[in-house]
Amino acid sequence: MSFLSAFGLAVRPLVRRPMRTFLLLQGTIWGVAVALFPSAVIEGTRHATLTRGAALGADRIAVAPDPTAPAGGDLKPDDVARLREALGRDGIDVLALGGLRVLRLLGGEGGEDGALVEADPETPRARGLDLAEGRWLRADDGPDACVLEAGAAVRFGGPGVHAGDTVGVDGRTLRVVGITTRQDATRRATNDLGFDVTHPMYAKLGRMLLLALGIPRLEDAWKRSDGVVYVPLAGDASLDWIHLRAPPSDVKRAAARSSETLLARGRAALVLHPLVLPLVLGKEIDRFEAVRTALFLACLVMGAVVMANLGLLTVLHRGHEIAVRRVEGATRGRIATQFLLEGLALTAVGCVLGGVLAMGLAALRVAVEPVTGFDWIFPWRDAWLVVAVALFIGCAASLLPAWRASRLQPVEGLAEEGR
Amino acid sequence: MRCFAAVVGEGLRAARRHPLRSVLTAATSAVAIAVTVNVISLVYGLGEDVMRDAALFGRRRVDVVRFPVLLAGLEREPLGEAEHARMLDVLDGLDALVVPRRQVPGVLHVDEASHAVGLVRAPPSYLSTIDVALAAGRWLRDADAPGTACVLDAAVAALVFPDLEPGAMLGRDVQIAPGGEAARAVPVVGVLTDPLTHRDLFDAFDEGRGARALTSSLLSFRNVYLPDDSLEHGEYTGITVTLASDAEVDDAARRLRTIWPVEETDSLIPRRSVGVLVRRDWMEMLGSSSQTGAFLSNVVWMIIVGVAVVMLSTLNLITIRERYDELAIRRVEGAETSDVALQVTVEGVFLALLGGLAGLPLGYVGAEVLRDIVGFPFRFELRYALFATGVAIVLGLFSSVLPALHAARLQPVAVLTRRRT
Repeated sequence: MSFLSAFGLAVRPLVRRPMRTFLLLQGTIWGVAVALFPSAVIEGTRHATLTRGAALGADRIAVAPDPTAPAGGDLKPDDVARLREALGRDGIDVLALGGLRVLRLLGGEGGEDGALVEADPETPRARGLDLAEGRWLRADDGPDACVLEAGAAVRFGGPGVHAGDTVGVDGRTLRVVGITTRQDATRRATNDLGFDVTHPMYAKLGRMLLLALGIPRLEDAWKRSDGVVYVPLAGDASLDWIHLRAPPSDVKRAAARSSETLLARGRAALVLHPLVLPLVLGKEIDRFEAVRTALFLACLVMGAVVMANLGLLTVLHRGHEIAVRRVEGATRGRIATQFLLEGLALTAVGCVLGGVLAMGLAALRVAVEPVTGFDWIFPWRDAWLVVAVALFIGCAASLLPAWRASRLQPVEGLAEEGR
Repeated sequence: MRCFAAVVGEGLRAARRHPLRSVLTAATSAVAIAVTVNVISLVYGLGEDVMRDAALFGRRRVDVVRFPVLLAGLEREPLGEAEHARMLDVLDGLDALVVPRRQVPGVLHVDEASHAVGLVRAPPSYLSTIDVALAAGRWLRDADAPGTACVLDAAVAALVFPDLEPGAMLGRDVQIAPGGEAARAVPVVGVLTDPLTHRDLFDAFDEGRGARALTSSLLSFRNVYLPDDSLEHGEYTGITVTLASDAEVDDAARRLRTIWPVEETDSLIPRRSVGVLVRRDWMEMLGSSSQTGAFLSNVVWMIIVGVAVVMLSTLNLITIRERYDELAIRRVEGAETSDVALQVTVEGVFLALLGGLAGLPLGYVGAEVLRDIVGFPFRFELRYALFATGVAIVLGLFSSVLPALHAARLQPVAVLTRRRT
């Protein structure tokens, strides 16, 4: 008998009772799902952070003066240069760095419609903006030059405004030197801590938990308004924010170095960056792999025990069929192989269904997560390992029934049926 | 009663008749219960530790404090001697201890490395504003002159003197300074205990440490406490009121909010620079978040138990068909349908309970192993074990319901006739 026909023989009883097969497969299905679902989310988020870091804000750091510190620890324009030096000394690739001072918030108290800000030439780029037309501010620009975010361009200049035009903002006539690209919905919803402020889970849970953990209350709607007007920074007055961009994998190190540098200069500063993405990129989260493995094995062992139990019952029920096959010339090895293949087929189906369930759970997990950048992909590397372990355990679970079946004497089986 | 005992006895006998099958069924329950007790011990153990630690910050304290609100142009309200005096005035008549403090961000120098710490100007009465005990030495006194004494939080002490016991740290110097100033040596007179039970875990996942404002970082307990007047004079960062009862806490908060009113009542931190923070509210918010997390973690063991129920239920359904003859004979002998159903249920519950009891030590060993690997706290308590045992019984009941109904519905005549033919 060929392998294929043995396999077909093994699969037939499983197909005959699909619901029963499905219910008995729960251990394997959930075991595989539990093993793959965290990997899918962690790897998906890591992949998204590394490939779309700029779009997700994973490469950005925002520094603000600590509002709870004694007066006198404000950020100054020359802190920007000192930060650049310190980060450079550490070998951190600073993509853009600049300070800004808010002159006026537009719209509500948090600047829902935008803001008029004085900024270093690199500040808009440090905030992750791209140019749609014109150029960025330059150090030699006069006080009437401005760069407009796309929403501000429409608001102050109408839909036909271009670089080179003049616009009136807050009683000032400004010459537009550049206009940024329109910010997408993700960016317009994400704050400096990397949370989607429009997500219901953030409003219900995340925001309160952050406050309870001592993270500041951010009233910075202007940053997400797409309505900011940048004019050149002038004078030595204190800065409201310093913005910095670095490769996502360096953000944590750059944030720590920035804190240290500013503290050494007597500044009381808060350094904000996406809180969760560096954690996902780091190694700390991998320590939970043991928990995942334990749950995976627990589910598989449960499934294996039930499979073994069912296999023993099957041997009992199919005594006659086994006896007939033995009489027809099937060796003990053939009989055992059939039961082993049955176990393997059962496990293989469980792996496929478990994989599908894992991706469903991952998608659900991503949907309820208020962190921008959470994503999932199919974790191929882990999947092969999980399937190999599952098949091994499934095979082990079939050994006992296979052994029992192979030991069955044809005479006993036929006599039992005759009685 | 006797009849019930007979039915139970029959159920147990049936379980004994197929020892291998019974052991395998019980093993499924054992694994499910091991996971249950493991997850519950981990999640609730951690949650309770967090709340116990938070309680050390004092339930009956009300702070007037600078709020960490980042809003451009937000008016910086004063918080100095005048406000202190107004507080004493409005709190008149309450059994209240009012303790102001002044904090600045500081740098602790250890060999070539420097570490950010909070420098807290703390009067002798400050220790009454937190429920943290001294591990060694003494607290600051009025007689301590600036630069002659400091008290360290345990986490700071461990940075400077990693190999010393707290008692051996006393009298040794630490190099500290406010940010931007030259370090100076200050002798240690006391070391506090660490109120954070799981400091390592907290530090490992505390990505928000750089974003934590000075007043909030008081909770991190990485502070060096200095005598009154050690830091340059200026505004206070916070003024703490310690009260004798919960009712007085409410009263004090109401009185203080006549000076610092709030428009928003749904946020712990209102949109203003100085305001009233009731620590009890903060703890409740933290507790609520912690409970939500624990509740969500329950899903893990619920899934595992659910999977066990589905699989055992299906297995029992298949098994029960094999026993139709036996059950039919029992019916013919006079057993009621309820007796048959009870017998099957007792058998299922017995095996699940047996497996569950075996799962408790299995869960304990599993958690010990996980604790070593993951570094996650784990607390195995009798109540968790009892709960898991209850889950095992429920598992047995649920996985027996369908088979019991099937068994109860069988027609003895049909079964026995089929057997003869």
